[in-house]
Amino acid sequence: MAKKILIVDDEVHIKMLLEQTLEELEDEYDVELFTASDGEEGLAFIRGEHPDLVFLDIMMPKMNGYEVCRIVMEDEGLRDVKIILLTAKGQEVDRKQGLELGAKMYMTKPFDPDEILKVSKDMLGL
Amino acid sequence: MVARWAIRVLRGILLRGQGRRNMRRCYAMTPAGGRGIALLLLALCAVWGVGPARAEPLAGGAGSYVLGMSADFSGQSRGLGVELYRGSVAYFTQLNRNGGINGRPVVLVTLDDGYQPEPAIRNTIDLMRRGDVLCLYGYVGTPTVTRILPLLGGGAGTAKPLFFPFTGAQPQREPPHSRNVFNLRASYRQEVAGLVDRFVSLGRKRIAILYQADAYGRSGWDGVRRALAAHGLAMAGEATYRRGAGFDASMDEQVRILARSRPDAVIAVGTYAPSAAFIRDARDAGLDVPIANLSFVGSENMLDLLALLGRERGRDYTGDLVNSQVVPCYEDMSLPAVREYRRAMDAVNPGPPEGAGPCPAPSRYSFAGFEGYLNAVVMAQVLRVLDENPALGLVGAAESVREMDLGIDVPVSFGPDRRQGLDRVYFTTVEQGAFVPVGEARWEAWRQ
Amino acid sequence: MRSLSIFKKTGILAVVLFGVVALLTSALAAYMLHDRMVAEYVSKGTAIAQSIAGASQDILLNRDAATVQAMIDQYLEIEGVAYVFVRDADRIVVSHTFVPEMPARLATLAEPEDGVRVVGMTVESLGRVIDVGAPVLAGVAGYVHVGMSKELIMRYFWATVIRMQALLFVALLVCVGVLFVVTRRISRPLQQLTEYADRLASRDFTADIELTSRDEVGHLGRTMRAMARELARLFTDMESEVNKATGELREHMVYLSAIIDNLADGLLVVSPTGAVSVVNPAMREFFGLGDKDYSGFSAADVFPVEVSDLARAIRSCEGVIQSAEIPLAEGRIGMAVGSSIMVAAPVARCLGGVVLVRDVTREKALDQLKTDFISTVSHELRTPMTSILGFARLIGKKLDSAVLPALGDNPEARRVAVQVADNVDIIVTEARRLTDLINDVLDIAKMEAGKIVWHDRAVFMGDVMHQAADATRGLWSAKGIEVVIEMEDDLPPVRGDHSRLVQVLVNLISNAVKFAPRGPVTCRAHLDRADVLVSVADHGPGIPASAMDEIFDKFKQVGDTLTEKPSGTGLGLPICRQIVERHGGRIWVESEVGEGSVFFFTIPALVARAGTGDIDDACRAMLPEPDSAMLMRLPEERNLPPLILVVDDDPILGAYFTELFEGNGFRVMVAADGEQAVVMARDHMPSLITMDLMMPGMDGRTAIRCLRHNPFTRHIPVLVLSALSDTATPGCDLSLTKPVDDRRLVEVVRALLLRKDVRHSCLVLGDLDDVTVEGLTVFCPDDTTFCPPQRIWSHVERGFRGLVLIPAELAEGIDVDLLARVPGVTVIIMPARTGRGKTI
Repeated sequence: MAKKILIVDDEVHIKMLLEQTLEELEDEYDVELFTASDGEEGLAFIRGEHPDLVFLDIMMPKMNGYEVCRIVMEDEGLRDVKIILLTAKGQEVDRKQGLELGAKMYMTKPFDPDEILKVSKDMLGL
Repeated sequence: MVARWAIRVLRGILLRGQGRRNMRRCYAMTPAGGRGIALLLLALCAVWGVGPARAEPLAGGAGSYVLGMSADFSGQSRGLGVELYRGSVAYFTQLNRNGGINGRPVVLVTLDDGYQPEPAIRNTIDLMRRGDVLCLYGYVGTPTVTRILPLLGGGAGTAKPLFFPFTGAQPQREPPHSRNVFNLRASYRQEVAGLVDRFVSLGRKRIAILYQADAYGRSGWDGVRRALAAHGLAMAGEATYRRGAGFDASMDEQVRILARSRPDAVIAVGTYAPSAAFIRDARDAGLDVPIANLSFVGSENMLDLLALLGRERGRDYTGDLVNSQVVPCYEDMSLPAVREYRRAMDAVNPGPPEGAGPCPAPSRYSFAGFEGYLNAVVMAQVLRVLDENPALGLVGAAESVREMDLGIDVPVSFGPDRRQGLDRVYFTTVEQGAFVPVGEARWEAWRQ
Repeated sequence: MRSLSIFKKTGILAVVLFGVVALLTSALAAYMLHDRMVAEYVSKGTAIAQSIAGASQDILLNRDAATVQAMIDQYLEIEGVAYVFVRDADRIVVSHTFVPEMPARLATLAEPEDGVRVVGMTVESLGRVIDVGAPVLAGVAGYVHVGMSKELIMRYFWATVIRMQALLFVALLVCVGVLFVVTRRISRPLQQLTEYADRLASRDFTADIELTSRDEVGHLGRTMRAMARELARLFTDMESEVNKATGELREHMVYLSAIIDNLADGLLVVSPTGAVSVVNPAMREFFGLGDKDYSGFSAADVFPVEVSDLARAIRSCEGVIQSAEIPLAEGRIGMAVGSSIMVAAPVARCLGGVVLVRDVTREKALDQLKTDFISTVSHELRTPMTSILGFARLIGKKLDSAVLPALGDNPEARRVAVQVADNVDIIVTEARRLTDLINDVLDIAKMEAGKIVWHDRAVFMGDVMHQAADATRGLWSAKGIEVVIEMEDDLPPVRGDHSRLVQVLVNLISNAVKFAPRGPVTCRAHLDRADVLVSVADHGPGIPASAMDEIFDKFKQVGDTLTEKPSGTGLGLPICRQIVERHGGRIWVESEVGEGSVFFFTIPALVARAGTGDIDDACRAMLPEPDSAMLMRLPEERNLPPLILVVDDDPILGAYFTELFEGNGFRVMVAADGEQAVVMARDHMPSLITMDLMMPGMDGRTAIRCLRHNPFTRHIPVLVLSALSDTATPGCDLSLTKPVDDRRLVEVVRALLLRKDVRHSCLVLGDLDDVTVEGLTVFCPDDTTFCPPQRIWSHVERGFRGLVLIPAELAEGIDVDLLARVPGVTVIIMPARTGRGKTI
């Protein structure tokens, strides 16, 4: 079964960057990429598709990443979803809050595409 | 130092108490005398007058016969003194009116001694020194007369005899003083002996005596003692009072002492005021035995006091009283002397002597006055003898009076050994406010 | 009045003296008079009796009682003669002078047979009489009796006494009068002096006194006048001083009140009872209080609960300064700081507390603005940088993976493609630099804004150095430069944020690698006094002295920015400085141009350098934060028995020790483990602590280290009671091995407590090098003398008294018993040292 990776970001460029970075995995492994442009959309997808890995931006319209992370982690059925928080904020409180909510990782923008690939592989066990 | 001072003070007190005048006399007599004890002894000598009495010849000559009289005109016994004086004056006045003693009047010079020895001695010395005074006459009182006796021998001037003192005491009736004294009245010893004999004969053997604490009282006391001893009896009780006590003095203590001896009769040797006080207190205390008084008491004065008291209290204090007298009762008109006396008193009615103290209204007649009158009668007789026979001297003249009839049924005689003219004692009692002779019935009423 | 008291005293004395004299003289005089008069009366009575006897002989023989009566009557008039009576030979009374009757006593009187006889007796109604009896003619004629009244003598006696007393009384009155006049003359000036003194006492210096006498009183008066002038001068001086001081004080007060009134911060002063004493206008404004006077109101009635809670916390001088954020009027926000007001001298006393409220609305807003700014900048810069960097990398990769193989062997196309790839690499590099710059800028901004959360713990500098070297491996290995790490063996840990310290070293190593043309770069760490000193040395171009300070400023790099290409952001060293200074350390550089540079920084070491394990964090947790000032708790019970804190995990032993110590008059508290012990020691300040070593949780050694670490508990003597045979425990004062003998334990405790009391004077055997001084300061903060063992006796002979501390190694050479018997000398054998660096 194909692994599902969801990218949630309102920034189109970032979304594109991540998509293009992760396309590599799509080519090599059985991985499907999905994107969402805001928190609600992302949450709906997570609930519907149960992705294996989610890159979740924090600052988003409608529903921010923390909220999404919290809701997902409170859901028994979704708890195995691995969430990597992406943020431009970089403040310590943000990092702490995110990890406390159950996110597996916290990545600060700007990030290196290679690093994204590496992390994704680790997370998905590829 | 203090002790020495104290001695000095004491000596002063002693000397003063002894009588300054006597001391002066002593100095005069022994100008070179010592001090201290010697002075004291000399003073005593002066008092007693133990020196020999020399009979001085009378100055005689024309002029009056002056008699010196010192008596109580102001003291407790002034009633006696005044009455005695008046009785004498009544006679002498009539005598002088009738030409006196062969033309020479008899003059009575009076001095008041207040019944006190000291003034009496002073008066006597004055009289002794006066050349015009022939003799002493009519002294009143035992304590006074007893004390002046030593002066009579001439220790303080010319020796002058004393005639008819108003006292029944014994000293002037006995040697040595009897030489210088002529008594007319019976002695107290005779008076009390009469009373005692009467009471004993009436069965009243327990006889007590109240007496004045002086020579007078002692004379009475001595008399009672002797009289009782003659019956083989002793005094049931005795009590004294101080001379000078008045009617207002309380005699309760004396009454208590005498009542304690349960007497059958009481003989009081006193003057009228204390005697009356004793009678009053005795009667008030329920002591109802007969109470006898001597002549010296001044019977009329005593009766006046008791009568007055009786009127005030509505009680008769005059019952059961016996008064012994040495002259007959002046109410006994059977006697010529009484009649003359009363006539003389009525005629002359002499006043009290000059300088006499306030006196109750002079009695018209009295035992004392009667005695004074009788004294004057005898004195006039003595002066008559002297005037006719000056060589006898006054004493001699007096001693020559023999069996003289005074008009009282009893003659008077004097002699070298007889210095008392009368010996009879009369008993009177009070009946209806006046003295009357005690009748036999009356005596029987007191029989016990 | 005062004159009267003198008069009264002397008067009483005079009266008493006079009274005694009067009584004595009058008694003597009267006694002599009495004596004399009795003799006189006897002689007088004898004279009278004899004269009567002499004169009455004849009369008596004649039994003429009346004449006798007349004779004796006259004697009655003589003073003193009470009676006369005469008896005749038959002993019958023939004359007497009694009224109303003769007393029975006399009636029964026996007769003298030979000569005069004097008898004293008491007769009713006459009183005491002297009877002088004399026979008349040897009794043949009778007998005479003269009674002399002794009553009269007594009358004279008393009259004399009374007259003398009266005389003396008059004399006394005269004396008293004289005395009165004299005392008045003496006391009037005295009284004037007293009045004068009274007026002086009431500070009436206009008073004057008239002095006429030249005697002592006058002298006293003159002295007093001089004194008064001096006093007046002093008072004037003092008054002007006081006025000056008052004026200054007033000015000062005005000044202060102006300060308080114009203070932008709100100020509230509360009394120990919690009542409001001072409220300044700013405070009124903050809480909308208006102009009402709130003095004396309870703070709780006037201020919101935050302020009143603060006021309640500080007013009793619990010794804690507290702060709280509180809402102010009009939606503003304030920061309140409360502190107690305490007077230390002469007696520690709490005067209440002060609450300062600062309006931090603006600061909060600014703060928020800053936070927002940083957040926004981060976001707004990082997002595009993400795209730039990311896509550039993707382009590079795709050029490599897709474009270049597709080009085949077309050289032109390949050349262009390679050029593009190179350009993309440049974009990536520059984007990375930009990212670094952004990160550094944000870092420093956050530090300056205090937005960094520090994760402090014990940090071992060795770890930091290795981690930093690892982190920079890419740099130096690429450049072929070696990084050498040297460090001391038992370097104590420091307290700090591990990752930040790594950041410092990374920066320094990066710089060194960056600028140095050759290796090696040497990292050293060693203990420099209380600090851990870290240095990073390179063989770079060096830094000119003029730049040495500047390089730590922001955006400063060495060299000409126009000619030399700057390398790095220029923010590395400023960030390092921020971090080091935040840790209480210092950072600097030593350099010679052309030779290279050495960067140094220090971080304070944790005290217990021999510490094993990470216990210091536990200690620190129990200590107040260093930036939060803490007032030492005053021992509350001043005159209570010493408090002993027993630390033992065995409750049975705890109870046993409690009983033992309480039985010896101490107060006892028990702690079950080290942590509890440290807390209780801090809160209750015991006089002594007994410490078990093996305990669950924090063990005894750690607890001791914590206690020693805390400046407030550092001085408390610690007695280790342990079952461990090796009791060489650092930091303890004495060790005893369980089981402990009761008596010895109490002795040791007393000795330790005593040592605390006599700690002012210490004599330590051995020299400074042999003995670690650190522990000594606990006992001997004032006066510590070191002396070689052989000279100890000369010190004692010269009078040294106090504590003699003898290291165990030296104890055998000294007659310790003899030394201990010297009064005032306490001997303490210090445990043998197990090695260098161990405390006694």
